[in-house]
Amino acid sequence: MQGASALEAVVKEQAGADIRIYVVWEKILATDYAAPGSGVLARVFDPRAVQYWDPDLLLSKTAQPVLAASPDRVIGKKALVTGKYVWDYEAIYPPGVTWDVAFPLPELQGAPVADVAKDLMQRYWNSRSKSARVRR
Amino acid sequence: MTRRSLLLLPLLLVSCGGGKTPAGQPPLNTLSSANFNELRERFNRDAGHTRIVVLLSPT
Repeated sequence: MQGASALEAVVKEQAGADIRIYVVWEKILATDYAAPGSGVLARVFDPRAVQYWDPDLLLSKTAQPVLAASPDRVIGKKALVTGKYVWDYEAIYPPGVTWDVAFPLPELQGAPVADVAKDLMQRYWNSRSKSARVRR
Repeated sequence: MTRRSLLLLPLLLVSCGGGKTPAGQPPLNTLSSANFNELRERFNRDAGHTRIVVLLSPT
């Protein structure tokens, strides 16, 4: 749950940024027996967010084969991506990336969220400003 | 069924359905194999924006 608060703190700093956030709550731990309650959902209160409950770990199962194939691209604990399930994980996609058949590889990714959320966001905007400078 | 479990049943049913999302967000969507494509479609609809995807445990 620290990950959700860390994410909220980071996106709060990006109040004017053109971003969309997808929070997928997974039934991953033995204690995750029910869908997240209002108190949990309130941890990410940014109106740009959409929240999902994924009791069958469908997103993890879809993403894991793709993400585990490029573990060197993961910032932080690679085991949270290359293990049986992907969890406590964050990915950032720039505009233009689409999800066709296979789950798309993100521009930046890392785990656990509480440790990497701020770093990923900073790296992302740095890379965007660099590419904007190159285009000029 | 005891009186105590009868009293707790509505609470349990509410908690299984998930809570209320914060103001400005759509309601919590439970993913299943029948509607999983909705997540992919939303991701693609938002392709003009920077997108952040996170997978978390609720506990």
